[in-house]
Amino acid sequence: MANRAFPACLRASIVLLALSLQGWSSALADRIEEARDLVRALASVGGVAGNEGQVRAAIRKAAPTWVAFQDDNLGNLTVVVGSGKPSLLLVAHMDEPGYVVSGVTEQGYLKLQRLARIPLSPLFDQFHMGQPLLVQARRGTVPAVAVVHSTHLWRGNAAPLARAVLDEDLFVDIGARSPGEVEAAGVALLDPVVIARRIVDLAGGKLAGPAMDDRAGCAALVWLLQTLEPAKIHGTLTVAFSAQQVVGGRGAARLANRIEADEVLVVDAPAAGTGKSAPAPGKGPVVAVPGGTEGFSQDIYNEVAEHAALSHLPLQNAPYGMAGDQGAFAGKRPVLPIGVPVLYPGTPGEIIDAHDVVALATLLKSMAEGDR
Amino acid sequence: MRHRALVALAFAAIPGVLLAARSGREGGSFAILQTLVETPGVSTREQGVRDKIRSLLPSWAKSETDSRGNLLVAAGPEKEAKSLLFIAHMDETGYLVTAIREDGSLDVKPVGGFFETLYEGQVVQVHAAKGDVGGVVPPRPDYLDAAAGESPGAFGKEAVRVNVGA
Repeated sequence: MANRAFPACLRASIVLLALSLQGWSSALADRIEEARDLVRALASVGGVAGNEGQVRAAIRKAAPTWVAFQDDNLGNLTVVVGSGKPSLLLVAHMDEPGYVVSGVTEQGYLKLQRLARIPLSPLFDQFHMGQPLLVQARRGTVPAVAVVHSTHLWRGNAAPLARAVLDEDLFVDIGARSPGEVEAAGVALLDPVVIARRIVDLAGGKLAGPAMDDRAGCAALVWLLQTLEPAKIHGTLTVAFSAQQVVGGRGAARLANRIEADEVLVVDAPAAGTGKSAPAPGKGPVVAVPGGTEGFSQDIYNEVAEHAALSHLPLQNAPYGMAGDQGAFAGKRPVLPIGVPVLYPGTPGEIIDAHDVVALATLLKSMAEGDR
Repeated sequence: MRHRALVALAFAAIPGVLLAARSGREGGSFAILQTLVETPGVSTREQGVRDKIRSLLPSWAKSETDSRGNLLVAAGPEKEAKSLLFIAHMDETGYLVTAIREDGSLDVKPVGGFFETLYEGQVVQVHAAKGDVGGVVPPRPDYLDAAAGESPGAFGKEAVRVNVGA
């Protein structure tokens, strides 16, 4: 019956279409898995502000061989592609909120000083209590644990959390029992300390772990470098990975003084929002609302919207403050923040979606190669 | 419509840290400890730990499991007048999945006594029948507001859920 209803050539076409859709779907799944691997690679190392060396190394390793990076004495990593006008600068920060070792007790515990000036959750330090940490000592990474009151002593009693936990409340155990043993372990004052890299795959191409803000943004720029064809760049494209964003955008301030760019896109997660209107992972890149007191560029916004439409990419809008790298460019260059949406920002379980990373890289590639 | 499910939940393992710690130690005792620590065993779901212990026993040791899940190994003459009993518990604190919500998140209930704030905003693993599934315990909705710092212990019970990305 079915054979009579559908001629052989039509059946063959349907089969071919199904096979090609299956192939396209499989290729897309592979790309999403590759993007997730890339984010995981960049987020699996710590990068406290001023100590982004491991992130820089991970970016260099993931970038294609033709990329000739330059670095400066603040820790920024930049690559210039093409030449002439117009010039586009893309910036994603490498660093994350964290700590440095500020002291050692007589019992061999480490004391910490938080290193972040950007607005953080009042529970930021509490999120580290009782958790495994990594001390990035010069000789190598030293595992540690932020101690917590014994549940056997405090069970049913809220006393340990009667007030907000601060960085000065954290006692960090590396297994040492004296300052001498701390020194023997290779740990010194001012060594950076981050939460251990527990990164897990979630359903539907999502990924969870610490520092997704802004390693997902860094990953989008690395993906862009991996996929663009330098000869097709219209004018000059500068891709920058900035240092020391969380302590006031110091790296970006250097970039703003050094690089003459007609347009600047700061690739970062938006100011945190938790309501239903907050941008959600998996629904496309998020872009700042233009204008307002921040004065984000309407012209760049229009270009972003145009190229997103050309590439059939969804966009989400969100307010961005001036606390990120965009603050370094505001008033000096036309600037617009754009980024990968992050759920639960500022926690050790930030969630991103690899689809958004690929979509953002695709959008930026379209802009870099297109007329501006 | 909520689906009933019972799955153990525990913090995600961090092999990198454990491996780094092992490099400074020698001997089989640490390897045994590492194996047992990396195996999840939320109370009433100790099967994995029980299997690992059984696999680590010497060939002479004959083990049996009772209806409560206890693993017993006896040694020595059966009719000896005096007997000695060593006991170590296999289980750990954690959560059990109690329902799957319409939005794809999981309802969980705590097993054992511990500070539930230790799970807030943290990465976890759901140890499902078909394998481990990654998840995050969402922080309290106002965790970014200054007010959250005024009641830092206000997290637990029904507020604890798991987002697995579904």
